[in-house]
Amino acid sequence: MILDELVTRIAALLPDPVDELQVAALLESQGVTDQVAVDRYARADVFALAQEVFERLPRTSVTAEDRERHRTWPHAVRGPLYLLPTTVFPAVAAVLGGPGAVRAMVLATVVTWVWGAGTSVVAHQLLGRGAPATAARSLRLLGVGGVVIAASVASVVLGWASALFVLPLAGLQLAIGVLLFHGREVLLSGAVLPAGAGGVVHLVSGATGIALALGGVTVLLAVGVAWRCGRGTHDSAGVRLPRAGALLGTALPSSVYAAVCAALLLYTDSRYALSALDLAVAAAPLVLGMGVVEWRAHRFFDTAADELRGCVLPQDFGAATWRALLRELGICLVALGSAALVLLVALRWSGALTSSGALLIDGHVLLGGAFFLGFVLVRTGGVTRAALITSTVLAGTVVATELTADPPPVFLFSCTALSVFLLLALRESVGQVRHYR
Amino acid sequence: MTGDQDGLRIALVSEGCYPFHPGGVSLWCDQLIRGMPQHDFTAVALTVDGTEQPWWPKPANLTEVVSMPLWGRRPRRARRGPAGFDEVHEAFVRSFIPHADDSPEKLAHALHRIFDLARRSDVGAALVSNDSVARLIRAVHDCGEGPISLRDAVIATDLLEHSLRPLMFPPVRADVCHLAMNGLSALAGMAAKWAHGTPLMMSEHGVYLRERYLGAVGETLALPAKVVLLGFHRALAGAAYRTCDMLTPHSDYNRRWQLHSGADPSRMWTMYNGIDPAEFPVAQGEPDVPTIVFVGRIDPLKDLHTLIRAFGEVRRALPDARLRVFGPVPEANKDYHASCLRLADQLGLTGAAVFEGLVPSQVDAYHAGHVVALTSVSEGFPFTVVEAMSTGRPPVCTDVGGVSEAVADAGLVVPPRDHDAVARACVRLLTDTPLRHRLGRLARQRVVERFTVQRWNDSYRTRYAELTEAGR
Repeated sequence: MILDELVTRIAALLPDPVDELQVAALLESQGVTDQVAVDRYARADVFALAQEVFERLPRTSVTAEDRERHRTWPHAVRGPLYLLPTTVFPAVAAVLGGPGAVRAMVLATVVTWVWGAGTSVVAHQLLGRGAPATAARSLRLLGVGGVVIAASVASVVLGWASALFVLPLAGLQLAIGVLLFHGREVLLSGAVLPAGAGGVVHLVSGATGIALALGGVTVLLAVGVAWRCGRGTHDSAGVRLPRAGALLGTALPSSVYAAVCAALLLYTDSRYALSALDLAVAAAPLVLGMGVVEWRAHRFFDTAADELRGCVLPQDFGAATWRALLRELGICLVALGSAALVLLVALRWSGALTSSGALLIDGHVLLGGAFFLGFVLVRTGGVTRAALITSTVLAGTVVATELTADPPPVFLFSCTALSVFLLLALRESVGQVRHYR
Repeated sequence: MTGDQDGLRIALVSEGCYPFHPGGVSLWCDQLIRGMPQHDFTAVALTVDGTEQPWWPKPANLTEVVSMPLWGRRPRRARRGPAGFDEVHEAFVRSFIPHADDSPEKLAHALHRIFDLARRSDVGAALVSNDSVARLIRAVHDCGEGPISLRDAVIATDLLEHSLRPLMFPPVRADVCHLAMNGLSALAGMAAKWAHGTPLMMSEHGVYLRERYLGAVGETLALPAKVVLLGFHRALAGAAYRTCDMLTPHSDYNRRWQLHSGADPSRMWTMYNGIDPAEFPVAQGEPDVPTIVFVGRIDPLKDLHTLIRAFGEVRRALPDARLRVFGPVPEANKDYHASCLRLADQLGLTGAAVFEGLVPSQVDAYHAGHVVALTSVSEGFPFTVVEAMSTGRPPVCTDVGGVSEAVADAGLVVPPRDHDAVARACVRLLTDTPLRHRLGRLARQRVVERFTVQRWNDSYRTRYAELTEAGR
């Protein structure tokens, strides 16, 4: 009877006993010494008593399901949020002059793309360490740093007038990154509305001043809201922050990958920003669909997490994740292709579509698919591999463009090759279960 | 091997302790190194990611600190894939799944083979490959503990890879490899022994395996995964006890666990922690009001909730009584510290029970009370009890680890988690002055006779000499 009481007491504390030694350890922590085992339970010692208690204990696994799901669909609406502020660009071009505006836009985009990628890695590292307050502070401070760098480079390379445009553009792009990091899509959509309205006003009336003013309102709103994001959060107790050198070491490869991605895109696109309409807007389906690409990349990892729970053996998991990868790639291409189809029909209807324009638009659809594959490869095969593959394709693109002097078909071929190379790399890494712990 | 016994190189191995963190084991390491200036020491620290900064001032004879990060990037040896790995890994997982009497021997053999492979190829990637996960799943299934889910198998495989990392680093070179604890530290020692024939000695403060078992209580991991991980640690503990040339448990309580895990009694010497009684002199006089003192870090293992509840009972009998808690609050335990303050507030003890933080002189802290209380649920052979006894303050302690061996009849020992018993013992000592003074004198006498650092140093010096002599 007295042993039954002990078993009941221990069962409440230890519903999933591993073995008799764990029971012994728990008995001792409850004050059951060898002497108690002898005097009260008539057993030789705690170990003998624990053996008997263990054999009588029920064994139930008390695993807690951590199926917490973050909403991933808001990623899908990010594309229009990226695109809307760019409608002010014609008004800027009217002030700076076309080529000057393009150079300023390219510079701001490259700097913020590269800087933002590294900043995001730093913030995620800190968040993963249980330091959300430090992550938010880092985003703010590094964001300011990025704006200063972009404006400084612009003032040296392009002159002060361009720097005046780069300053708010870089601020806006980095603020968008901060708001998306914190999942503030709704606030961001409110902030970009004035710029969208300004773009429409300029398109309809040609009024430059009001368009620029509304664009400025968007910048102020986005930067202001981003500056306040993350305040009120606290780092977890006992958190040990990584050293700056370690953070830099993890952020640098991501920045390099972002740089080669930006170079691949802008090497071709920048030459068409002020050219024929079909070439100038060829990137629109990609920009519109980038949110979908990010969304499906997140969905892919959710699916993989489900497969990890559902599959029995790693080889089943490998096959299932490969199928999921191809399915998500297909969804990305369909989404981007649909946007491209609408654009192609509209351009054709207006008589502005050329074969070069069609090839360039198709190339951007494929590049969106490649960006999806790149997202997955970065998390499963490493950012270095993704950067190497993209760098190789970029080098090939530059050489082929210089040789053929016809960028659109080269761009289409390059994006196809990039997708194939990334798929080959993923064939090896995507089914390895260790990436999904 | 060094010929002169007074010029040995000792590798002192610990996990999560010296020289990067405070605590009893680290204090022990520091004391050991400073107590033997004739020997050179290499501190081998199993760390989180290798970015930790030293917490302890560096003694002159600590000539090297080797960090072995368990969670940083995997150390790489060579670019070649590990030929023959599949067979070795199969033997590895089957050695402890399921646990059997010969698991320690089989695990030691498998670990040796993994160590050999790791010296010429990148074993880390292979340890977490799909094939390795599949082998673990099949082993769990075959032993009847399964099925283990793929997700849990991935977690277990990953944790095992991190656990085996000490085998992936270059083995340390020393005349004696001294493990400050069992567990993963033993892997660093085994590697040194296999590579260079270094004699191996282990001192255990708490019982590593026991603390692993207690740490797993309430962990949200499925039972089959716990069986895998704790099975590994159980077999590793046994393998380490068998591989060590000498075991020096810090109490007979620890010795019981070691013997139960297969240690050879002929190679065991119980070595109690020692202090310098001159640094902890007898207190002159006593405080004006009945005062209980706690000295130590604020930590759930110290079960300060029981102490606070006990103090609430003490206050019913002695309304003027005070509880003074001296000790640092580690960053990770700030929430626990806050819970202690809340409990004291709920019991109406605010102002009477005071947390005073880290004090410059621990001696002053001991002298500040009539009695010193320690209500831990897990201990090895705590310095704080011996130090308190040296000052002539009788301790009230819970019966965990080697505490009762330290206190014996020079204080009062009660069951853990029993605040009524703690309160009764405290009231008894606070109200019975002749008893308190008698126990205080006994405590001081016991320390001087049994637990001095001189005696302790001499013992370790002798053990080192025996090990190096035997190795010739």
